[in-house]
Amino acid sequence: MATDVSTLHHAPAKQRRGWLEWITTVDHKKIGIMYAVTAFLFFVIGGLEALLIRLQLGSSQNAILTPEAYNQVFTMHGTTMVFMAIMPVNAGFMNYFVPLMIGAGDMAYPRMNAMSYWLLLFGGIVMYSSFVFGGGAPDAGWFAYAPLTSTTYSVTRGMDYWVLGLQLLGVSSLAGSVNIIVTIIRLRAPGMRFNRMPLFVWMSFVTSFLLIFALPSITVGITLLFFDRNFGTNFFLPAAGGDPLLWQHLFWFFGHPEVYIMILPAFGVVSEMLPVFSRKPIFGYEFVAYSGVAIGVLGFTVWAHHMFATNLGVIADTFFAAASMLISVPTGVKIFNWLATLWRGELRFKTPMLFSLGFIAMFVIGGISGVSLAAAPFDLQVTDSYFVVAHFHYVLFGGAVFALFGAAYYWFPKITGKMMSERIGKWHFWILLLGFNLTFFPQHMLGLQGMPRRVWTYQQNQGWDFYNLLSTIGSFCIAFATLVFIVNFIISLRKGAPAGNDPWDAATLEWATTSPPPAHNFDVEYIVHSRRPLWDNKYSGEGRGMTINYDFHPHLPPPSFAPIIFSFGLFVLAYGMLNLASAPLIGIPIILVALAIAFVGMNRWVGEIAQDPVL
Amino acid sequence: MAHGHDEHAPIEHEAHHSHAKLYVIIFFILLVMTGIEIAIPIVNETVLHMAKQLEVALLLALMTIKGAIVMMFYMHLKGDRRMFGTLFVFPIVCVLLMMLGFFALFQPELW
Amino acid sequence: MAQAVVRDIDKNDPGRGLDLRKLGMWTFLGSEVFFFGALVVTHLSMRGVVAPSSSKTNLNVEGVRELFGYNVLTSILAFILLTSSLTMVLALDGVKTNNQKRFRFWLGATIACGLIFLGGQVYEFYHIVHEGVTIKNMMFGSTFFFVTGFHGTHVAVGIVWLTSLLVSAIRHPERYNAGNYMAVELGGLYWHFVDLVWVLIFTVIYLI
Repeated sequence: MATDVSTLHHAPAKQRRGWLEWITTVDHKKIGIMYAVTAFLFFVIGGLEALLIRLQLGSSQNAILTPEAYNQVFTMHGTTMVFMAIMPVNAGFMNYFVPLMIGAGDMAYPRMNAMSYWLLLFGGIVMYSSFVFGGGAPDAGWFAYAPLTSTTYSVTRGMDYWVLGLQLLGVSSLAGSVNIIVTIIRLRAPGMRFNRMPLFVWMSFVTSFLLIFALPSITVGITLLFFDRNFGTNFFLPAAGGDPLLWQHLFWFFGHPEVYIMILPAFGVVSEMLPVFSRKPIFGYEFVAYSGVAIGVLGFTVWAHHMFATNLGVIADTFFAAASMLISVPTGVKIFNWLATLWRGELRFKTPMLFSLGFIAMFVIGGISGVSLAAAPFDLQVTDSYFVVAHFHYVLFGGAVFALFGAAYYWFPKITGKMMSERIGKWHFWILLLGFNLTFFPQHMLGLQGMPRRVWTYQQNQGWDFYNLLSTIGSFCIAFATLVFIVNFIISLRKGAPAGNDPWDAATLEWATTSPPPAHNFDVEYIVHSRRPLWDNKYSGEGRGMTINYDFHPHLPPPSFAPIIFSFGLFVLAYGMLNLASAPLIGIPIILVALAIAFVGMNRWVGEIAQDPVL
Repeated sequence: MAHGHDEHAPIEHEAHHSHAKLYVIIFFILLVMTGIEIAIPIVNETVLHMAKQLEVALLLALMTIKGAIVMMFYMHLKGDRRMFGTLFVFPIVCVLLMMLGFFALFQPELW
Repeated sequence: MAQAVVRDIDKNDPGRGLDLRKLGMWTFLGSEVFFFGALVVTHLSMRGVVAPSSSKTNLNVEGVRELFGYNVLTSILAFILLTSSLTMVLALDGVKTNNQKRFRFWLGATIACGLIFLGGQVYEFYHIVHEGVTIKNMMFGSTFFFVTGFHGTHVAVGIVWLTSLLVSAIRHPERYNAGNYMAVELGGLYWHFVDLVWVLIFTVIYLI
């Protein structure tokens, strides 16, 4: 369309105010904030579920929860933390900072970006609505092993809600990942070559590829499961010729890359924070970047190490054990690079730095227990025990969550323009570190003593009382630490000291703009000449890191209702699908209404594209 | 939206050169190959009596060539920017490996 | 044009000058490759299980092979989808050469081929169910219906997509032209991908 270019630089036609501004926004920064806040709410909900689990297991033969309720709570704890807390917090930081770090004005597809967020929210609502409408929440674990998921063993509608919620979350992640990939390939500032991108951008790039390659596998798996539960197929039911292991293969082919999807962005933020607080560049940039790629590739070859106990055969066991151990090489490369970055640095122990260091220490513990689990003979001894629970909490909580809290402290000034309180922040860190280790370290011992995971309770004479009590006390420390964070967040938001553009004296482009950045991110165009544009400009001489092009006209797409309408259509569609088999007379009309809503959204969307061809 | 080839070129509205002839030729090549594919199992059963493995290998080879032709000419990957091809072919290679992996795991007697 | 604001990366950068929407389309198709890969491998892993799960059908192994194997109908379907790929690429050729008439004719022909294909598939499903194999009573049948059903769903989505293109081309003549054909090219990429999947399904499921 040969539109006159000058007409495109006007301010967005209708700037909406108040809550409408948030509903219609296509600004990657607002969407990033919504992602992070929503994910934190789910983190709190998932944390409350964890407290219930720990209360129940605090002493032997406890009966705070019924066995049925316990199954629901631990299933929702895992599902929430994986799909609705850690992944969307990552997505939120990526949304906010990938465009800023590469010097772009927005994501490649701003409207699709908004759709990704709304589908996350709606997916979470679908899943949690099972408590109310489904007769009970999902209760077969976040791994949903067949035949526990069959209608014989999971009698409520919970697993159907789980499937449909995950479908929405899957579409959300898929769209978000395509968006990130295209943004990184295409919207980098001039001079921002691939090998000059900040490491967080590198890790976001790898993570997004992992997502688009891994998600289809679970999409197929949960669709088969939905048919098994609703339409009488027998894919996973051995009595009728199906194969429960088929589920495990499809699930873990997604599930193992998934753990890297959760941890790689954390590696990225730590690789950003450590150099800033060590006052020297990252050691071995290429190694940190490419080891992330290597982890991503190898991550697809190790899925069956979750299945050693299913008798795959010696050759398969050997292959998957060796491949899993191989992953420790690129991971180790990263850890040594981080340590070398600290070496002889001028360390400044601000809160983000403390979290980064805590991350390294905790992740190494989790990594070492991970390597030991990769050895098939050892795995057979401790599989499905609390040793495994301890392991993955060390990498996902000690790893991902520590790094993400660090990222929150690191980037809070950029997002809000205010500093977070260092004093409360340090309290937060030390209480969290203490509580975390108190909770999860004893679980190594419990596992080695043979306590199985996913059990509702245990006998008094089994000798597991003491460590379980420690673990429960620790979990309340974690809850208290999170409360401290919330208090710090609220106080800092109201009375935090003004941050200025670049409070940490950092190196990457997001600190070149104001805090918070304007809607169009940058008033000028930066032409990048180095990996550390801000530092090189400051310390090596003006123009060494980046130069400025003032002849620059940012363009922003106008706010849009289309994404939320379309997503809402899919949300309603989920409820139609739920009723399709059990009550087609209700289900089919709901599906038709849902398709009509989605069509209205899509129609608006297409119309807006015709005016302004950005998806 | 004149970004078909290079958006830094001046926006061009004049018509591109037509490739209709090439597309029709490609179509007939694909048609013949599909015919051969259909014929292979029948001929093998009645006349040739090749080993089943050889038949499967032949069919897979023909399938690969057909797919490659569709991708190169109908999806324009030939002559297009390499990034597009990479984004599409890399997953195909990965999926083939994944399928081999699944196949091996589900047929342990092959080991 | 919003893309006009997309700034110039380095001269030798692999991302320079790429169309944003086409880039997203290829990325998405890369994901679809994994989707169909997982579907087909499910079928291949499970096809050995021909034992009926409930004794509603009297088919033995050979009977199942015969029922699902190559027949005249499936080769007609393959032919139709192949033709639709040709018509699609001719439609794109039409819009690129500013020939609106050819563009619309071949686009309409593509949609027609898609509809015939879907009709043929419905007939095939009906036939197989009539022989006593349903999605419920045999693993071979379940996975077969799943793979071909998902492919059919993609054909249906493609038909909706191309129809909306055709409608918009008729309502706004000259909207798509030699200077603006990306929307047609994207629809075409999706359509060819669906054809590509059929190349795989035809060989792997019907012939082997």
